[in-house]
Amino acid sequence: MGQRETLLDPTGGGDGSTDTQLAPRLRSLSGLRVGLLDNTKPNASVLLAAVADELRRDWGVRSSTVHTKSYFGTPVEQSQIQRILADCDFVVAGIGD
Amino acid sequence: MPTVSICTDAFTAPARAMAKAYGFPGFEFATVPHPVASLAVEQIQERVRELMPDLVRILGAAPDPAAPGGAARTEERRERGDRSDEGRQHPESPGSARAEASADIAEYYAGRGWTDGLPVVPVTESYLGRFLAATARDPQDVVFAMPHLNRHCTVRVAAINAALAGCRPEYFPVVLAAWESLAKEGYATKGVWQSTTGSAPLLVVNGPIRDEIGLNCRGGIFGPGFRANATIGRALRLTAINCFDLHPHQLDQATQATPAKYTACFGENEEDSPWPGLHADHGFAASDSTVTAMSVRSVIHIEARHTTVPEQLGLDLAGTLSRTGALVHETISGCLVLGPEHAAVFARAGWSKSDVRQYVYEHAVRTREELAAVGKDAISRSTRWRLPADHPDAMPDRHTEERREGPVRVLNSPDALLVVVAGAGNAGVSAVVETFGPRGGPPPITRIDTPQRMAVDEH
Repeated sequence: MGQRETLLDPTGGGDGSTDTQLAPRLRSLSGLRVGLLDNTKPNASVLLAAVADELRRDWGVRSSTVHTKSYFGTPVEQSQIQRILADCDFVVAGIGD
Repeated sequence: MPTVSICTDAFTAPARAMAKAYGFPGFEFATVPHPVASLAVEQIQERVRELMPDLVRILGAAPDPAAPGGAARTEERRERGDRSDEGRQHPESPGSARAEASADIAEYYAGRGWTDGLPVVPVTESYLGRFLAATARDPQDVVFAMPHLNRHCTVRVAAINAALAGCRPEYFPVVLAAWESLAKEGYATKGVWQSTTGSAPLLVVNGPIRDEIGLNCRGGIFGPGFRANATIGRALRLTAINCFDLHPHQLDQATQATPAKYTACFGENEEDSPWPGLHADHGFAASDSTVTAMSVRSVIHIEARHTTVPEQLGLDLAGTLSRTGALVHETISGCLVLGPEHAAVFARAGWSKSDVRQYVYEHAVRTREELAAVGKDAISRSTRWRLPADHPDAMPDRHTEERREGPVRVLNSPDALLVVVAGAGNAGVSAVVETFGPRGGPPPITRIDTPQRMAVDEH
């Protein structure tokens, strides 16, 4: 028929995530409690334990607690986030692999 | 809460894609050189010592960005990760095209990254209308969601990608049922098809729809030549790429992938099968048309041309399933795709599909020594993936815990196997498909809803 038509976008146009804010940065780690978020990938627990040792020894971190995800492929569950917020001052998560 | 995420430098591209999907473009990760999974404890501690200045700087507390293992190394790693973006310049779209400029159209789609590497069919609103008319569902209905990526797919977007893949409008109800089945199957929504393991969705179709759309059930089911087979499977892949952003090297981290990722769809050969179809095994009428989706890693060839003894064929199948290379998890699952000749070997001996499953389940075993030889004799405390008994995360597998004698079974029950019949009746060839699940629940068999009147465009 020779009519011009627009080619449709197959991506669905995205879900339009808006820019969000990072949590305020820490100036010192001294005396703080660190949460270690273990995603269960191989050696994540070993790596995070080593990070905790360094933080305690060289950066004055007071204590560490481990929080283990139930499945690496999906986001952290809300109940787990609440526990982390209650227990910790900052979090180290690992490992993306 | 201030959080720093550690990833390996091989993983920065998908990590950044995830951060962007959640509204944090430019989010900074603390990176370590890949690999980490195979390192010893002392090596990991060394990696961590090098990582600390960067990690602490990202949290805001670092004194010295020029420290060894600090910002300079991070920059170098970031550059390596960025190379995956090379060659992805997207030309500005003209937004419209004449029908005769098909080469330009092919280049337009390829330039946008909207293909699987092969040319696609241009989709306009009027063409899309024929697909939307093939279903009673509302175009804004969600057919599949991946919440952890903040993305979902509507009937409309599924239709655009089905048309893009080269489907005919009358295939679209099969595509919709495939999405529903995949959602029920559960592994894909959790992101397994982004995983390094490299899996693909595979579709088995039963019922009268197979003849209605010319879906191949016989010779060459895993190969090319039939539009319905080729394009229905492809519709899923293009949607994964386009709607869910699962591009290779980015959110799709398959180490090697599988050819099944291009397309994997076939019909059960109910006519040449000695048994009822997969759908009839699970409560559907033979006259119902259904799709069953499964996430698969491999399709493995079995050839046994002279056997008339069912146990011999059963051992060929069991031995294939129990190969140590496939034993990632504590146990595995599979779908036996028996060619009609092999199905006849079993049926002539009076075996049902259940008998086949039971025999293969009992004989798909590996000795403790064979597992230890490949470092898979124990399982991870947290994930139950197989690993060596001396790994820090190791605990005994269930077989050891229950002090069972004899070799270890690689299937946790006969229900971890499905059996279908497909292919030509011209040789003793079958396939073992290695699947995620089922692990005891029913397979996600889904009825295909065809509209009462299908709109067929005669132009």
